[in-house]
Amino acid sequence: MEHDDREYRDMLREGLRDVEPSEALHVSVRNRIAQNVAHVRRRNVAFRAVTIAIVLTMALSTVTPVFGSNGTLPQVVAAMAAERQAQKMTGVLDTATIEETSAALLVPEATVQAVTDSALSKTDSILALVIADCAGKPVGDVIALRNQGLGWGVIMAQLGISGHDISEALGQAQTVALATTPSTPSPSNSTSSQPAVSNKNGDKVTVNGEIALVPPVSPTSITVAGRTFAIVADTQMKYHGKAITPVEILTKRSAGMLSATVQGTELADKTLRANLVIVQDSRDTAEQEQIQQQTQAGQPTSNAQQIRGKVTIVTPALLRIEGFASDIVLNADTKVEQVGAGKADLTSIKVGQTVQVHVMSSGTTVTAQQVHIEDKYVKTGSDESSQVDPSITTWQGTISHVIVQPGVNGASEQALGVVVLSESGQPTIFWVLSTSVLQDANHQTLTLAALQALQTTAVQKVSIQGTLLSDGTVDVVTLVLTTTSTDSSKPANPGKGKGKH
Amino acid sequence: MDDELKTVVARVHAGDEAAFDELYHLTVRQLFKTMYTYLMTREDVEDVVQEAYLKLYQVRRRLDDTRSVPVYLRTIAINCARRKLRRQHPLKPPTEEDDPFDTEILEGSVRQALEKISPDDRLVLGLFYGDQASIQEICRMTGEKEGTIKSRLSRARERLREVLDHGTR
Repeated sequence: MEHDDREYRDMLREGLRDVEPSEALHVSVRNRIAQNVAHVRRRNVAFRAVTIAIVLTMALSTVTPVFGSNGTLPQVVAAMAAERQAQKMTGVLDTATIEETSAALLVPEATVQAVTDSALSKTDSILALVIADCAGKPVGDVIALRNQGLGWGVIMAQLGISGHDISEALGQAQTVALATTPSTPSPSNSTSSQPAVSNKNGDKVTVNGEIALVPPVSPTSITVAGRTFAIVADTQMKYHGKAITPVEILTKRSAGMLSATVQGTELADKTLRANLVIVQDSRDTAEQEQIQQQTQAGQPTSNAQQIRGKVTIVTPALLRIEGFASDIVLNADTKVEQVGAGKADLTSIKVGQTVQVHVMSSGTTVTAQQVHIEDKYVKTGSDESSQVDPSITTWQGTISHVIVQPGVNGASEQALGVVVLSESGQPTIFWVLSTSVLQDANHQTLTLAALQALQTTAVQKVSIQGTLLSDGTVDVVTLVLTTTSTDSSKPANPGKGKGKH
Repeated sequence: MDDELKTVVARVHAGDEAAFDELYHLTVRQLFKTMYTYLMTREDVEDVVQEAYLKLYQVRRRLDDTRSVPVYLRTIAINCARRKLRRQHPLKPPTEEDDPFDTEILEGSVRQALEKISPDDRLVLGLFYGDQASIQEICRMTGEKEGTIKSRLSRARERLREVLDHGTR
């Protein structure tokens, strides 16, 4: 085997004896290696160049505004961070009022209004306000810089404000906004009373909470959430967007809970001076007022409403409904309709009828738009005569007593006269004729005997249509009792009830 | 040879650029013959050798084992040669135009005998008898199992003997 191996080895060596690498191969190998070295070198140089370029750009961008009007790289980064935080703030103050934004950002309302009126976006507006506040510059200056096309980073750098300042200010503002903005869902608003919130930014202090009664609100101080602020001449005090005085605050506070957001300044002696006081109704008080308004009986709570009840007084210009406190004005535009008659007129409205009235209120005046008389229309001769006889007049008053007199107007039989006192106390005699229609408060026929019995019962109101005679007395066409408290058709039962007899 | 190779490899590892040239001269002759046994065309062998040395150059700083350098170099060359053969598949038989020296250097007999053997068998023959590599080293270089290598070697020997004893027909 060993012999064979040597034989094969020798055979192969001998057979390949002249197979040798040429010098050209050596040159080729050297060239390829050289090319590779050059290629690697070029690649390394390019890589180093790119690396150096990136490093230089980064280094340069920290001191040179390589991003144009957006400034240096740190300025761009700071601006992005500030904008991101302002954007969150935009969400918090999305539905906030000028006052709430003012309170949250610790800037005067006028400033907020100025920024709101500008063409800046919400995020930019908030940033402008915060930057101006931090820099102690007018917000107009900041807006002017922004309008020049400068990035926020550049503006912050020019005004000497760091991203940390903005972040801190926006963080505090967000806390205040969450506590003071009613529209913003926050834990503080989910409870019935707002907890006190106090923030301090340098010498500026913002406090939110309920106004304390002890020590009381005085013209010179106000205590909110346990912190007392001095009220000075420059202190702005607002309630629902309008100026309010300390005395008015005291009055409102005595009537119910009030909360306030106070922006103030801590003075050197550690006392607090109020710059802006925004007074708000506490949630409890506001809700109670709302409920009170809604549940006030008989009081119109909206412009249009519907009233139903018995007519107690009716004149050509006025209607009074039982249980409704206000007098209802009747005018030419008031439409009247009655069951059984359809369209009717104001004269169809009688005392004692049950009516449904659509009214419109304007201030304290309540005007009837439409009167629907629920009592069915009953056609009578007197109705016909009243329609054709313009001499028929309506009287209303209180029955004083009933008289029986023979031979009135030349008649041989006895005549029944009802003495009625007008509102002014003037007595008038109404003669009940055989043609007179007599009705009680339920529009049931009233007998003469029942009418006579009225003089022994309680005071009874009555509405009478009739013809005025030359002697000042009246012939009754229709007599309707309008008082329901006493059933005039039946004698009072002396054995029942607690009333006097 | 081994001492000289050891010194040169150490210098290459240390970053001596000239040492790689010396490493080339120390190793290229035998590598060329072995690859020739495998590919049987000078042009292909030159391509494979160039590529093998280029790759060796690229990893020169990691060469620290003197004994592994020849093995590593052949492993690179074999892999390059295999890629080349795959690209040329099906393997074309070498012609006189491919290797004008063959007629002269092999005098007909050995060359003709090798042509009758498959490339993989020739490679094992060249590594075992030309490079005097052990079976284990051949396994490492080719990535094949010992039994396979032995089979290839046995088959190659038998075929070579047969051709040499009884002619190429």
